[in-house]
Amino acid sequence: MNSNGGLQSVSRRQLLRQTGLGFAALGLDVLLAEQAELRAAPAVGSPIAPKRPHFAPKAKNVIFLFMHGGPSHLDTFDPKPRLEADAGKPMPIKKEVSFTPPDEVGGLMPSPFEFSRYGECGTPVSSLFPSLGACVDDLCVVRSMVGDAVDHGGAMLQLHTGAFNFTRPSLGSWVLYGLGSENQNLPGFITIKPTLWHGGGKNWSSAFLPSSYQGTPIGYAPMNVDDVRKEPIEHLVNKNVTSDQQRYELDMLQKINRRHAADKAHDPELEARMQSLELAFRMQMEAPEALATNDESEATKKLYGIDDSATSDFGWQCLMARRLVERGVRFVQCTHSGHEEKWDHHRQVARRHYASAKEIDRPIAGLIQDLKARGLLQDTLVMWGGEFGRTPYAESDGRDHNPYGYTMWLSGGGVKGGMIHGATDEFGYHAVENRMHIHDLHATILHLLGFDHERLTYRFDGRDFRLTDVHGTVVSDILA
Amino acid sequence: MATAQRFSLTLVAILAVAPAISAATPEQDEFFEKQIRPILVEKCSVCHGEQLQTAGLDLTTAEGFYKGGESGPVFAKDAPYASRLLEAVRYEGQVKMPPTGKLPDREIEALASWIGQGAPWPGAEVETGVGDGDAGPQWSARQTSHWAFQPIRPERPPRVQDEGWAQAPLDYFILAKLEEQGVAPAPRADRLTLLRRAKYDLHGLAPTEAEIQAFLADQAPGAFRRLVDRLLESPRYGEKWGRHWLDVARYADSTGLDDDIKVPYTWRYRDYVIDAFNRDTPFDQFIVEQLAGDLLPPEGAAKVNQKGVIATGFLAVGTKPLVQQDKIKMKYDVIDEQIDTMAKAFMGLTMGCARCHDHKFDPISAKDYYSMAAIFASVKNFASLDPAMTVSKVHLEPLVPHDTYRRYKDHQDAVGHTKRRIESIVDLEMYRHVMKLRSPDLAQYMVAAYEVYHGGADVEAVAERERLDCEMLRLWVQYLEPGEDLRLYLREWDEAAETDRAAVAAQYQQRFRDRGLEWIEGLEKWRQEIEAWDGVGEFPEKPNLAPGSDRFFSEVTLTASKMDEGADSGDGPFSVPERSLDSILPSASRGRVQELRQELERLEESEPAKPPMAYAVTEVDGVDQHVFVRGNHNNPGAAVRQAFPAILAGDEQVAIAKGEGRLELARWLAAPNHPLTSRVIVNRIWQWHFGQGLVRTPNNFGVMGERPTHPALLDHLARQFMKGGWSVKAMHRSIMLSSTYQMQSHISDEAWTRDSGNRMWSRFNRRRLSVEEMRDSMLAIDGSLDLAMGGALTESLDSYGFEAAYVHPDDTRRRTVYLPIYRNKMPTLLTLFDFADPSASIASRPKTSVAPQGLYFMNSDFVQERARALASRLLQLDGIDDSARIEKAYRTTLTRTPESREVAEMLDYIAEYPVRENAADKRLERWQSLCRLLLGSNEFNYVN
Repeated sequence: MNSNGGLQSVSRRQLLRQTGLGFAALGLDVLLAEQAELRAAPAVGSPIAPKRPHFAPKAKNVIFLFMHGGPSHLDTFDPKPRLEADAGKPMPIKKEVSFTPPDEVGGLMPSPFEFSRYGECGTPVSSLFPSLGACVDDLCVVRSMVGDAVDHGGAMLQLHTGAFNFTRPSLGSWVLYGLGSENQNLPGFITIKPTLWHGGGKNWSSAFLPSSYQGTPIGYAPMNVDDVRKEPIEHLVNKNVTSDQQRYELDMLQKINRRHAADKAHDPELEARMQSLELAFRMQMEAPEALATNDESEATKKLYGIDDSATSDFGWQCLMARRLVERGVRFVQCTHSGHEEKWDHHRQVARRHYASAKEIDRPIAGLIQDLKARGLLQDTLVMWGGEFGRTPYAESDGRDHNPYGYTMWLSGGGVKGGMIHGATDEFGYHAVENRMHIHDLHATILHLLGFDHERLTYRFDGRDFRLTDVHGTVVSDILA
Repeated sequence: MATAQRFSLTLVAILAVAPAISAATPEQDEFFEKQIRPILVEKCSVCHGEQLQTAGLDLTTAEGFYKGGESGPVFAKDAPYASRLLEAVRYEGQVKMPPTGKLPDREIEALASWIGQGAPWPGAEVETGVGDGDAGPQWSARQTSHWAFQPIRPERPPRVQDEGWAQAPLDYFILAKLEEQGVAPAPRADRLTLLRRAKYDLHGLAPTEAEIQAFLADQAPGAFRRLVDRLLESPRYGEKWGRHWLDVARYADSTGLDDDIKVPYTWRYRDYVIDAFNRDTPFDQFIVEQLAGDLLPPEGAAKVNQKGVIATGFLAVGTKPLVQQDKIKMKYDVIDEQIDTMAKAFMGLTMGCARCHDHKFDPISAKDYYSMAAIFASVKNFASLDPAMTVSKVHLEPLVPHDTYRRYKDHQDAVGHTKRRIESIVDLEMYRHVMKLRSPDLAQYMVAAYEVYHGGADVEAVAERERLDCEMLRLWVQYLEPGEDLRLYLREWDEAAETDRAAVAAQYQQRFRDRGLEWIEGLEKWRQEIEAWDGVGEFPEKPNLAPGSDRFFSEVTLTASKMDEGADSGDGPFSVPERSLDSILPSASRGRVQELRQELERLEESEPAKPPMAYAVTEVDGVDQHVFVRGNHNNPGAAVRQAFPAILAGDEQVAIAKGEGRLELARWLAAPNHPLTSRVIVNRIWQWHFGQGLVRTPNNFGVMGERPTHPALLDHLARQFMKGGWSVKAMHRSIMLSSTYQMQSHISDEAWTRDSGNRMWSRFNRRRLSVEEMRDSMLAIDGSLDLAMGGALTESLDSYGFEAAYVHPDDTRRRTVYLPIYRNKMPTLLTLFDFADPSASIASRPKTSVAPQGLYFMNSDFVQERARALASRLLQLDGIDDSARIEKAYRTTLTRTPESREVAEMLDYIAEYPVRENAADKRLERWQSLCRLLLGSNEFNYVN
């Protein structure tokens, strides 16, 4: 019995036996010559070779734009006139668990930002996102998100892994495990400038899945882009020797490895390690090109806001996301964070949200337009959101965490554009219509990628695990 | 699984044939507890429960449910399907419940089934639960007769034909099976292979040149035995084998999960483990110490059993969700983590599965689980469960008598109080100063600043004309000048008409003064409270003067460092810089502050030494534990007492007094008649020698785990282990001195065909170096490994907090086992090379070969540095030629002498190496490449 979800994958062992010839038996020169072909026909037995999902997928790739800290739905995509009307009055609904010290709980706080209707669909967006507003006909705004954790760490872990109190594989790891990647010379799951806070590495870890499925970070949140570009992936840059020297050395290394393996038949691990060295060499060649921007036009750079110091960081992240998806990377996450969260505004929510929104508005609009223009949006699922929303009542002059009802949006990849799904109550505290729990979001993402979330499983310590644990319902209303 | 299936079939049958029975059957009780009560508690009880009965309805008691609410019953026995409760949850009528959103369909269906049966509410009392009053779940024969739950049998070695092959008793078990299957055992490995195997196996390091020579020189019989003895005596052994145990014990230096708080003193537990292996602490004692060492009496005249306390780090070092706001859930999440780890580590059981329901596969009931939870519920894991603490703190246990620790804490408190006293005076005087001397001119400053930043007037000229302080005016200009920032509280000012400027400024001034007086009042009250404090109760708390409650006032008054969110606008124009604070104090206050500062100095001078602490547990009062239905602590079921799983310990167990049970648990586990403990540990020892266990699921001996490849051998070893006083080192000797251990790792065609998975142990398993072995060996080979043992790697590891003192593996040359492990910030090196995920008990590490590992060998600073160091070392050897150098390099990295054609090949290699024209040391560059080759080779990275 295939215990791991019945995925269509031939084991490394089987393949090696069938071909009877290890990968490393080929000379490196041949390898390089065949590089282009190999991209299409992946390396023998790579754990991230493309695999077929359960049924025909709507989306091939995922770009997750993660807003660290929890943007306020009330100030972005979920206008609440009632907060105007009752401004300053005490919250009439029983308060759930929160972080606000009792002496800082304020009354209901109207949004300082005006909302306008955009596009043909007329979806309202606040004045924080004028550029993104122009994209609403491509967005499915989910106003009824619900999570279980009220703290950043728990909420981030649940959003990224489904579980807030256990260590579980990340969404990106499940996707890579299920689908493999189209490009064997780049990691299949890349997370750009992730934060090391609030779950940190757990948010892109493969946990009990083999580590081939873990996310590969490109820089970390507090780093500036120029520093990240010097060595985007750890150990990617050959700083010590010339490439001639490296080639010369690698040829000899594989020669002695082959000789070593010659009298050690039936050991696929030795082959696999030789192969990983070849792959490393090719990744070193290909990744810098993928992560460069010099072949992008000025117009494109401008589209992403790379020309402006406020938007250049996230603009670069979004541009990288497009370039990576274009090259077949399965799952890319961009994180809007820094030395601290960009959206966790317990204080001065107006001032801070204003500054943070400015940094992402143009880049994200640019990404959506660019993906669309290149025909990539139809099979790339773009997802935007934080680990929760914020409260309708004030905490000092900010807003507290609110996982009970908040907004995320999805775009492309088989999702209906120009729609609003679900609703919060009139204060924007609880999701009340078409509630979409994080588990439901995960189930829906897997569905779009061609998986029955109940059948994408992995056996560990005697139990079959899945991303959605025992929960999750595919939200069919939002499927195109 | 069998039970679960039978249960649901029964339930379907009931639903199908008997829609309106009134007397609740046990199945209905269970259905209610598992399906219905959780809905009522989780979805309805906030408004219709004990605290609040909206519309007069209480849905948490049978009485309340049958009675109904103000507008009548919610359930009609004669027409159950028309019940108003169903109408409400189906959102069919005017009343739609719950108001926060429709229940999921399956919950509505469950409610409908239950109501359709006549809504049977179990018993008259609410407090009945799973397994209460009956014998508990019925297990199938497959579950109860499972091999691992049967007593360990005395097993004699079987007869074999080739008596000469067998060196050790265990060989008979292996050979008998091989002979039966007609598979030949692999030939004995050569001496250097055995040396390298044993050295990596016991020390995790490559053999040194001296060791190679000594071993080759020892031609007398028993040389390998002497080698094993020597290796077992070295402290390097504990560093290797302790690490095996640390995988199982999910050791780390931070709490993991949400905020990954760095915890100090974790390393004491790590050092304890290393020491325990080095001393060959009997494993039964090792178990008792780790679970209940704090409850064992101290040795000799000592007042505190330091070692015992430290050993309970086993329980403490697990993950902790410190930011969980439901503190009871947090407590039980940690209990769960501890039960799960304990059961996996010592019994190979996945008990955690029984938290929410009876175990699906193994005969462990939820009652068994909560009987175990009752034992762990009296373990102190947190400094406090106070819900007001957003981020809870872990418990740290002093290693000194409690009264000594108390004195230290009192002293710390006194220091803190004195600082607060000084603050109470200085803060008050600061606000008084601003109010008295500055606030009367506020409007004037605003208007003047506007003239400068808007009208372009010269700041000095305006200051002089208005008789304002020029520097202060500059600050006002800086503060008020509009920029990119959105400051809603200045909007009124920014948008004021020219003609209204003065009036608007006057309003700002008035509000500023009002606020100032209000805050001064609060601070005066605080100061009075402090003066009146009796020195016993809580020290009076400072009033909350949150800048957010008046952003303008705070930004004007405070220095940047005192703002809640740092320096958006720099120091406030009216703020008093830190260095000037003393000068504004009136003389009486100044005198008092000086006195207090002297007192503070005295206190700090007389500070007692910080007592040594451990990240460990201690015992607190027990609780009345209940089964939590579906794992939900808000839904308590039947009461349980501390007990061990019935399948292992029987139904009749000795009563354990309230608040106790850990020591009893430890002794029960370590008893020779426990069917699992000794089997589980000898299996691990086997696994750590051979790469795989006799049971290939070392953390799962349950029904879903694998059966042993050689059941009789496992029992034989378990008995032998216990007979040998639970000595791990004795077990190493038994295993390593066997022919089974000393076979080659080559896989013959026959072996591959007949036994591809090596389940017959027809050969030794070739294995990749672990990440520790890889790093430590590379350091050792060029002579740079620092063999200092134990302790914290950095001073800051002795403090507690968010910011983990990250230690990059390249920043130290200590052995890898001593690197701090932050769960959410693992060094790339470790995650890249399959280190055990420290968030859960790991029985065997994953094995991956991925491209980033190749990049590490090609480009990492570490490999470059090691290759350079080794090359320099080789080049510094005087009086030998390059051939001899190559030979040396092979021996230290690969533990063998190269063949002459290999030497020739390498001489060619370095001769033709494409050196850079501008290389500083061309010879070094060539040799560095050769060393990188050897370190990167499969031969170096695998042990045969």
